[in-house]
Amino acid sequence: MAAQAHPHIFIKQNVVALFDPSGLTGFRLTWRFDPMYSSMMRADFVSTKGGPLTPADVKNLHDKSFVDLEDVHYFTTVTFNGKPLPLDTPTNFSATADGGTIVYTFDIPVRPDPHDLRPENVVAITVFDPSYYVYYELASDNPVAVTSGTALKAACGASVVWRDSIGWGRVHSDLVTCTYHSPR
Amino acid sequence: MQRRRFLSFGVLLAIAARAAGAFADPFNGSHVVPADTGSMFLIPSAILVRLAHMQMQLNDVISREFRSVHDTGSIAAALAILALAFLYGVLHAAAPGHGKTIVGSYFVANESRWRSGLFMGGAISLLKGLVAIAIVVVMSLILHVKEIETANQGAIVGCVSYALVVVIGCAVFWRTAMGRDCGHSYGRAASGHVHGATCASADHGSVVPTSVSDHSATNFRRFVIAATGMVPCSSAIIIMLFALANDAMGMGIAAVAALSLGMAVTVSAVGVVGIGARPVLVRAARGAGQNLAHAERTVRLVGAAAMVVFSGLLMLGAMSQI
Repeated sequence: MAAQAHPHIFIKQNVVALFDPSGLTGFRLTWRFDPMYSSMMRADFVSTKGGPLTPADVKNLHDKSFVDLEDVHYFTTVTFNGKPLPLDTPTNFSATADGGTIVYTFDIPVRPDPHDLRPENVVAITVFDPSYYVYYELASDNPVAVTSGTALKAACGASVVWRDSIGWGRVHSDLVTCTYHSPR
Repeated sequence: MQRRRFLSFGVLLAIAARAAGAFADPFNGSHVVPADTGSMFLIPSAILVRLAHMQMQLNDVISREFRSVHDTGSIAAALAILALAFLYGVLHAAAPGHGKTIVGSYFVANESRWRSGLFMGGAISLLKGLVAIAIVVVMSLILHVKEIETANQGAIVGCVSYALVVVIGCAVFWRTAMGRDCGHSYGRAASGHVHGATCASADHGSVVPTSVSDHSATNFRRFVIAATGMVPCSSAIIIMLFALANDAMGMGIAAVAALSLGMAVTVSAVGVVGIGARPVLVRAARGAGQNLAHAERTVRLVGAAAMVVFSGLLMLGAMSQI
């Protein structure tokens, strides 16, 4: 197991919590692949060796190197006021090439059960591969942000949490926690 | 007594089977099967995360230097790649895999000289690098296989390799448990040579070794090296592929050589620890009231069982990737 299990894909991540007047609607995740894996993705799934990606390239990446992540719930776990929240199928998938780096951006919609709403809510998201094949880390600049959450006094911050891995014991993983007020 | 030994051996195997997880490249259309959680490696997880973070940074820097070698032909950048690849190798091999556990348990099971530990770690790591280069040349350059598939070749070769080591470990365990094995089985069986009560291995100087058992000790070690070293290191394949993408094949080969040397440092260190641990373990077993021959046998059984468990785990993990 281990010969393959140590991280071979490194991803720097940005998390944006998405709000509308009714409350939390989802998270926008940006995954920036390491240059070496990006180069392999480019060779396997992109029609050109350099330059921007065409819409066909983006579709190819989406179909061959993204949709199957549904099996692992996009490595994403969300809890709402302490309860696990089911995730909808991601929307707004896009892929870009930034120099030698492939970057995925997509939204994971979430809809908290109205019964679970409290005057003040706490929602937490982690992205973690328990097999440790993919290593996720929050990006160093602007790792966490909020959109349209001002009216609900939404605020997000990053911390670290222990996660159980497969065969590696407990390892650290980034946790993004947001608080917001329910609309009156 | 013997039944108890086999029972404990079975339990170890069961633990191995349970702890093995499923690993696959999730970005290549593979399906990942959730598996049980269990901790089998004794690396503190905080260190593990540090290692992953450092590898990520090295990955960034090495790829940047590759581009500047490609763009400007800078010698400084080339030297930087070699130094960084070496460091990457040291760190990367510290993470589970790379034959450390197999090398460590081999040397617990087989009394050996310090030099053998260094040699075995070096030989395994260099072989891994060579296999990686060969795989990239054949699969990517000649057969034009997809790059991500090429990088995942380790799983198939790994499966065969770990199965071989399981067989080796089982053979050592079985013969020792049956009382047929002192040191290296083949030598003794072939020469009819009878060891003293210490049951020392063939390459240990204190018991007069026959040339036959000396020879088979070397053969045995070569077999372990070949079985473990034939699994290519995925990182070496990834670096080679990246070098090719940047039209720098020669630089890629040099970088893989540096990476292998780095891994050799870590793997050899574990071999040396195994060699150093053996007398300590034997003393501990004697402290538990066993005579020397008995203590040596117990330690040998533990080492052989560890070989089987660790390579069994690696095998199951590799199998789930295919």
